[in-house]
Amino acid sequence: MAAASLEERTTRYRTTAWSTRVELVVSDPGATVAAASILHAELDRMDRIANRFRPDSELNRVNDARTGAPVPVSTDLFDTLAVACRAAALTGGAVDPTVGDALCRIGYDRDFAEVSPGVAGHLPSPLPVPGWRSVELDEERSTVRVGAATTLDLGATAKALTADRVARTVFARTGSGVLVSLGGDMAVDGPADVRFVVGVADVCDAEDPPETVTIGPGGLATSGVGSRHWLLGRHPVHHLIDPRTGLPVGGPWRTVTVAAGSCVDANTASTASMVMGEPAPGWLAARGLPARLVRVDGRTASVGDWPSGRQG
Amino acid sequence: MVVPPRPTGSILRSDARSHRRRDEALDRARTLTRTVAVASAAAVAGGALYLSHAIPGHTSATTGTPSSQTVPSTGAPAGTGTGGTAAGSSGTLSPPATTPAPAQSPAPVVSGAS
Repeated sequence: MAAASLEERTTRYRTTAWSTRVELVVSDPGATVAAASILHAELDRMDRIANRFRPDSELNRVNDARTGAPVPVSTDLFDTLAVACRAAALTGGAVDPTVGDALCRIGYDRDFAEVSPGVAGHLPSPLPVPGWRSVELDEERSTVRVGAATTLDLGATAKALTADRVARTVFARTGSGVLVSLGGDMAVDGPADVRFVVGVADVCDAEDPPETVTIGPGGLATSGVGSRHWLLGRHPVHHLIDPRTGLPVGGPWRTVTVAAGSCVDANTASTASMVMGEPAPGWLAARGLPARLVRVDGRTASVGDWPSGRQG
Repeated sequence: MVVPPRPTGSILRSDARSHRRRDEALDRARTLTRTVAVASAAAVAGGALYLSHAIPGHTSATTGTPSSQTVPSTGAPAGTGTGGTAAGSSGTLSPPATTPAPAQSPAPVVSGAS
């Protein structure tokens, strides 16, 4: 199906969640209401279990326990934690769910809307995060055990997982092709030939993206330092943490965009690439993941089958 | 023709003793076998329990089997579309079924950091 002709028939729905832009595009306009309903249900579902800034979230019940003892959790939270640990395992720990305390140390201990104006403080000394290997999941008992000094943050993978769930559910229930974008992390599902036109930029609210591509079923995610940054005292900091130092990533990349079989995998790879630094292109190529990487100085590199140099 | 003498009472008593010794030996063998079986089962269960806690970050089953890597089923998109590879649930990061292609038309949504 040609992307241009599809574009004429799509319907877009937009809202906000988790301090970011949420967009839904369906190829069958008649599916819009049902798709929006599914979207909000899944956003609420994930918010209840994994929002670190919601006092009554299930994740905070785990984080507040701080006893080192197994904590019973719902199947939803267990699955979300399992996805986070899988991401960590597949990236050598570059994407780690135990960065919660590191984020708090640089001021990101409340909703981003309250952090973005800047927070008082000083850049802390490097301190490695506890590490995903300290998280123990017992599938049969549906429990999780973390160290007494560990705070879990599921921000990246939980958002991508939600996008995948929404896309999957919308297609299953309506038969419509669907694109779900949660802060620029996208999941697409639908008939094999469904395609959506998307822009690729440093930030997801860019008005004039420098590159435009079509994507089919699967995922596309962008990680970068162009958003969710603030001043900690006089130090500019951002939300991408290097687990080895517990401090914001300071590598060569400004933005990394990756296409993968799911939004979770795309997000995992793009976030890991930001943490890895220079080895990222080789790491992505070895996994057959098409990617676009932008250096801090603006130079762009492509990996695999990414349509390098093509602009919309 | 010489008829052999009938066994005496002392010989009968000797047979009874040998039977008792045989039974006692069998009892000892049975006890030994049972002990070895119980000890083996306990060793397997103990080893499995140790392993389930020795590999953190992984799920562990409480039935005594060694821990195994988490294989969540929730990260994958629908299997009905071509994106329905086992992404999110497999042991590798899965590439897309279709690679991005250049486009000329306006983009309704943008992938970027948020």
